[in-house]
Amino acid sequence: MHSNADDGFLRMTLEDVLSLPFIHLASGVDEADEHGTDRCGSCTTISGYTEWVARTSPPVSVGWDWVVDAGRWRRAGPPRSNVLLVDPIKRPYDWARNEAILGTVVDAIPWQEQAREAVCRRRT
Amino acid sequence: MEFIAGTSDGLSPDLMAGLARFRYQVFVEMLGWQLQTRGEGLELDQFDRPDTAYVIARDESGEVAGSARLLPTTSPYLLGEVFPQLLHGQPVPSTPAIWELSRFAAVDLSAGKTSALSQFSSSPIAIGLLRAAMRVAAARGAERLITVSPLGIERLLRRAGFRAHRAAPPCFVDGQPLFAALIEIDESSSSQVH
Repeated sequence: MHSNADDGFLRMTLEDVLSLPFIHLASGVDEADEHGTDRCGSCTTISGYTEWVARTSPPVSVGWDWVVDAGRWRRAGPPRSNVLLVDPIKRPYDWARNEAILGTVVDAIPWQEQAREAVCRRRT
Repeated sequence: MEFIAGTSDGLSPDLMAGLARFRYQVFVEMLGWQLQTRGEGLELDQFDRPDTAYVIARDESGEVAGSARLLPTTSPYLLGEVFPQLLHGQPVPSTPAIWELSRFAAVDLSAGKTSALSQFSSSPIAIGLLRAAMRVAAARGAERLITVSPLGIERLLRRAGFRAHRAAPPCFVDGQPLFAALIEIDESSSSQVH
């Protein structure tokens, strides 16, 4: 991998990213609306974030939002990362494609259990 | 709401004093940050220098309602001097293409206690202030901003349509996850809101 000192991204191929040993860093729950727009009887949505890291040099960071939907923890929205994927001849993906492909990478990580455990630990 | 930009030697003493008082009210009183202060009720630090650029939001009554501080990364700046650990050993940026955004606040002081995140998402002038800061930085050669931020800022910026990404994994500082955020300056992100 290599970094561009000006834009701060780590340029990596998809193959490089797929071989990274991501470990759980932190997870949390979004706080309730502080302006109190929740109403008695309205649906409650449990959502939050989860952060993962590969402790390479330099380290690779990826995080995303999650939501509990019918009891299932699923990713909500594109991941956020310091990685910019490049193709085999080192051309960088555009922003949207980078997000989309990284989304498929994080979806292959069995993150739900560790995120749930971390959230439960923080709230006890 | 009007946005006024300049350096300390170009802005009026009254406006600079209003800025320092606003920053004290937001960062020291509301958010509880442990910051050095210069005199009673004024928040200024070692990065408030003659070459520091500011963008100040002023409401219809002339009161300061928002602040942004811009520093070139080719001179000492907050991330490099105080929070280099957020880059996890990577070189601290030092290039005319990156300016640091700090002391960013756009809050309604009458609304009471707020968090560093809610002041971005709930204030209607926050996005306008950020766009103004981008234009000021771009006029000085910046292609992107870098800022030390709470972790949640990244998702808020993206939801608001800005291209923001982390430079490295977040770190816990005093129990709070912070990270170095890079915000791309392009024509759409810095354009006026109509």
